[in-house]
Amino acid sequence: MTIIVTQGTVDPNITAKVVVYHGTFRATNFGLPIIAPTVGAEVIYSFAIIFCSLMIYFGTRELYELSTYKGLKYFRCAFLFLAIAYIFRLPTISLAPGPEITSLIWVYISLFAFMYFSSMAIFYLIEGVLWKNLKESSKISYLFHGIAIIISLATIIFNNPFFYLGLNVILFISAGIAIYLASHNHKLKSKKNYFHRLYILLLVFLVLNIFSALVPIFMDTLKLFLYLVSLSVFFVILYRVLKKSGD
Amino acid sequence: MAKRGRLEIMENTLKIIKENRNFIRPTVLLRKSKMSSINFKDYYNDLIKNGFIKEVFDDNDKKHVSLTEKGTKFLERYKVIIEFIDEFEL
Repeated sequence: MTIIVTQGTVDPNITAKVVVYHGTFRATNFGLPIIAPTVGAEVIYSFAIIFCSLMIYFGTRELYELSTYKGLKYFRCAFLFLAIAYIFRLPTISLAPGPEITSLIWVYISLFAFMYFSSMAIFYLIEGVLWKNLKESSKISYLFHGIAIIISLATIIFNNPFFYLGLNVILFISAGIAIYLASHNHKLKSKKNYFHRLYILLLVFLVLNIFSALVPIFMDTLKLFLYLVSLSVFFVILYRVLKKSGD
Repeated sequence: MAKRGRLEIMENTLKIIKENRNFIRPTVLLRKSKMSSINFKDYYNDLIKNGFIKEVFDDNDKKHVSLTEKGTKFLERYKVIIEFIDEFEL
């Protein structure tokens, strides 16, 4: 197997290589042809996520302003932070870093911001369903911010695919358990509601998106499929939000 | 008290004001809301602070309470808010 180490965009005709790209590893092998999404598709996908997230954020503004309900605040924050994360994702997919130090710094800043805001989006989603079970939710918020900063810094410092994998698996398992437990309590108290399944699906794709943006070694051939499924989940949530909020 | 309880109490208080032709004495409101005076004071101040109700004075300079535009809007949208919270398990 030939290993080519280079910098810049990936040539889709080469099936076995490791590329140092934007400070993270982009690689593919297994002898399979790469069906990687183009930069254009990635940009469209990012804009679609930003658009859906902002629609959800602004679509629930009136309900929050009237109720000042904490759960709604966390729900809205999750989508606002997700939109910001995907804004910071744009430079990392559309710009190839040059040799100059300013370009490299910009890539690291974008990567840090993407990791921070996307981690916080996950944490807000968890807090939105868990806050009623937390005695001191404001302190938990600070803790989540701290963890998100540590995750972002660690992502840059330990440029290691296994670190990302471990981190995302831990993040997903904790979030999944938290949402399931909160939903289970909720179901006991009120009518049957299976929206937690959509939350868990959303979490799966958020984590996979973060992971694929950082270490696309397993993901390049599946990326387009992943993006389509992610968008479908987002459109379902957007539809239900707009329908329920009456906008 | 749970936040969901807070929304229900807000709705109940605002509904009492609306049913009294949007003009009610605070003491009557306290009696009809069936809350302790300490709890009532907290909710009353909260509703004023957040602009859901306002204090008005009649010709005899007696204090009354009436709904603001935001308070009326809250009553109109209360069902939507509760359904949204239930739907998304918030």
